[in-house]
Amino acid sequence: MHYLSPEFALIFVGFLWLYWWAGSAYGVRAQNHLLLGASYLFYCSFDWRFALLLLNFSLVILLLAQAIRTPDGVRRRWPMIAGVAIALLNLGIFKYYNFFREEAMALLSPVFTGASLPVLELVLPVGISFYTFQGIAYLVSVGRGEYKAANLSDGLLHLSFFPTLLAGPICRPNELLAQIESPAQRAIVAPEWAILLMISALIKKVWLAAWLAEEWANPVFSNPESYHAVELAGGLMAYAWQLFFDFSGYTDVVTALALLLGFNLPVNFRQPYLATNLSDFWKRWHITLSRWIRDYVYIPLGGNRGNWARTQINLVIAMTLSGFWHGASITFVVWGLWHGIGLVFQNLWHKVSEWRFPAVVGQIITFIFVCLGWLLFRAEDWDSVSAFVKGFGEWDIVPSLNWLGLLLAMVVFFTLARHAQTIMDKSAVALRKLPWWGQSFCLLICALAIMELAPAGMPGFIYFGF
Amino acid sequence: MQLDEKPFLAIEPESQHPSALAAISLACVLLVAIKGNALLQYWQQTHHIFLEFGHLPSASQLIPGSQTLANWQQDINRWTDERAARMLIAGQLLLTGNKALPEPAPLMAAQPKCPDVVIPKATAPTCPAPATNDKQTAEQLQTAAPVVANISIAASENNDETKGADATADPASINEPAAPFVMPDATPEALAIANAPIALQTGDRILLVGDSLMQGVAPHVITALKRNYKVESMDISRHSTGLTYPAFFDWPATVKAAFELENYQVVIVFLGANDPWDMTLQGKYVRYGSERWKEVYSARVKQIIQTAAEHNARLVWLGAPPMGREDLLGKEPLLNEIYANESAKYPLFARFVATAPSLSTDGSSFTKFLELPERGSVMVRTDDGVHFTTQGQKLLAKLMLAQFTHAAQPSIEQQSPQQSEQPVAEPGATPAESKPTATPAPVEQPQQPSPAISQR
Repeated sequence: MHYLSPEFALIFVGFLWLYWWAGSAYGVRAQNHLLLGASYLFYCSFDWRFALLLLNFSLVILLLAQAIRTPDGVRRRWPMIAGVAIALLNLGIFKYYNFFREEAMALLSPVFTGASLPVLELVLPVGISFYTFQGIAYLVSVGRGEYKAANLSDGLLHLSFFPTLLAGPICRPNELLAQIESPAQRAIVAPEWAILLMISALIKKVWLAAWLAEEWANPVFSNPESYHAVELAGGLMAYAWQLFFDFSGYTDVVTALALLLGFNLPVNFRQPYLATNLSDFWKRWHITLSRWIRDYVYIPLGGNRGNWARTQINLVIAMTLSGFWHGASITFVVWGLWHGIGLVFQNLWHKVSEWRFPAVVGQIITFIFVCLGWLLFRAEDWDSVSAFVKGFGEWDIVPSLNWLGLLLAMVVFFTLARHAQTIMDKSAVALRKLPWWGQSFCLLICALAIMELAPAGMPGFIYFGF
Repeated sequence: MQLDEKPFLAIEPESQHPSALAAISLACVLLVAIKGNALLQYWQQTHHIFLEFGHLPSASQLIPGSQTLANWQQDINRWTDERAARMLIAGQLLLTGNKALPEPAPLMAAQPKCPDVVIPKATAPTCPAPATNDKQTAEQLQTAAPVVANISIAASENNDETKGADATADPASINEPAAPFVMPDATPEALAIANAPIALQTGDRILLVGDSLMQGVAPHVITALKRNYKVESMDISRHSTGLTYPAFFDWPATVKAAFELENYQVVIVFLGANDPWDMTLQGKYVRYGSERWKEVYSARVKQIIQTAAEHNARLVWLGAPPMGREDLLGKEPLLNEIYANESAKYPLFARFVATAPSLSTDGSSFTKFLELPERGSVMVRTDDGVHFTTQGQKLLAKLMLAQFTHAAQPSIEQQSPQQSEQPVAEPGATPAESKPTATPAPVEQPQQPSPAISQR
């Protein structure tokens, strides 16, 4: 059951009434208990074993966090180190074991004939990468003395809060936990934003991402040998936008859900394809992951405190790890490396020259660089990458896709991206002026229109796979 | 949205949750009321829940002037389709110049003119209709373009507003009386040829039909077929589909529609993962595995095979793989039995290929990790117990490719007289014995004479 399924929508609406009734009758604590129960039930709808694993993980992290500060006020480091190690081990076993096993076997087989590592039939629990990182962020914040350890109930909710459980945003404790712990009565103060974000999510995810995938990205990536080079370039751009619409659509919907529950989530996207250089791109794309990598990988490695060369090495390591976080595959690692090396080149340019590209040129170069990176991100193996790259040399095939139409769509997307914030702000103001039933009809009409426009089928979220 | 920059929590502390909840709830209720039938079909297809509410009111009954809206929508769709078709042609001309124009049909000619190509008498299509307007020209051009994947066949999808909850019943479209199909004689020679690998030759077209399992395998098959045999493939597989819920997606009608649009020499079918569920037929509950269920399901399988046979195409039906998901455990043998039985009824056209031996250590049970000679133990099935990893998809692609071989290339001098003299099809014939197909090629495809058709 995921966030845009009809069953989720119906259950969530019912839950909202119960939740706000509990708030007015019994207060915030009751709301938190309801949320905790709902979050675990929601996770059980995927697999009850996932919920059990999450419970185990959360208890270990929370108990270790409580063990950091002794009764006499001294902060100890070992619970933090042990907690981080356990969290990474847990993630490593469930997400990376088979990757390492197959790679190790491939390396060992020429030397040790018949060598075999045991097979573990593990299922990757959805959301494990996200809650692991959120758990580490919490533990390290407590370990550094930035945040006090939470009680068990609040801590469990912080790590299982159902709007953010499956694919983030990865919240710091002062963002989500602070709101959970706050004794103040919860409120929905901007319902028009919740409705607007839902409409935005439907447009992005159900319509645009699905349309781009079905019309462009899937055909071109499935069979690159059959398409003209221009179509391949179009398919790659379409995939770039599909990925953005998919993940930012997801972020919009979970932000709306959180708003309806009286919570405010951190921003995850700021029109990334308008970035004028690569570091700007990473300040706009999956912001909560970028800052996690910065805070818990790049800075502990030394950040920019060493010399220039050391800083670049730290950057490449951080980006490569970020790539590996996305998936247990060598193509993801190379994708991270691609961005790391790109950042190094950008820094090198900034070091040797004062001259900067005009903003538009910078945007185009950055977009092309990022799109080429998405080729690695999408590809299942090297054969797929090489088939696609070879296809760029194919100029004789008669195009069978409407590449001019896609080009037009790209122009529209870029133009809208420039004005997205203004459009959203103005829409919110207009929506706020409407009575509640007027807002309701707006949502209904948009939903119906999108259902007519969107390709058939229930869309899955790409980032659930990470 | 930059919520973190908006201190609205501080500005306006009072909660507006009653109005927010009312707005969301009203929108939900109206959405369910308007899209009720689509919702029921979705639940039947994804959760196999049958909710017998009778026929919910359709949108047209609830919204005043909805017919006008529907007409507007049709007009808009037509307008956008026309624009898209023109843009496609413009895009083709821009990139490849005159090459984009189909040969040899003079589509832009003011007067109708039959294509000047050698076509066997029995397969010769009627002279193509003149290009009467831009739209028609665009459609013909589009057809001629080497589209190899993801065609839209929405016409075969059923209108959810008209079907109600009886989603497993046969849609009316399939019950239309079909032209009688005469099964060619299955001589021992023809059978021997039919059982041998299917001969492919350059320019053949292959239709891939199936669900998400096929969607995973298709790219590997398409690439390998193109590389090895220089054949074009059309992948029309669609996730969440099967033969149990024709009101949700109607495969027999879709395959028929695909053949009406173009001719294919081979059809590969791989589905079943969404099928082992109960049906409701004319309001009656039909349990999975019951005699009635088997009868209805077999009829749907037969329709697909017969469509292929009528068009003289060979069909490869891949068996459903062993499933690891709890609610699907042990259910696929019955489906495979039906596929095998129905395929056996058309020995000259259809063959059933079991997938379990290639995907299982013991030949029948679900196996997530397989020992492969070149890679050792690798994961071939995904965590959901249904789908395949890339390695698994490659295994299946290999199994599919093993069904084909290169056709011996007959010379035109040898081929033409035979084809022009013998009007009866024998699909199992070798190239040397080739005879023209009994089924005329569709009128829409005059420019694609395919001697290969007669060789299977």
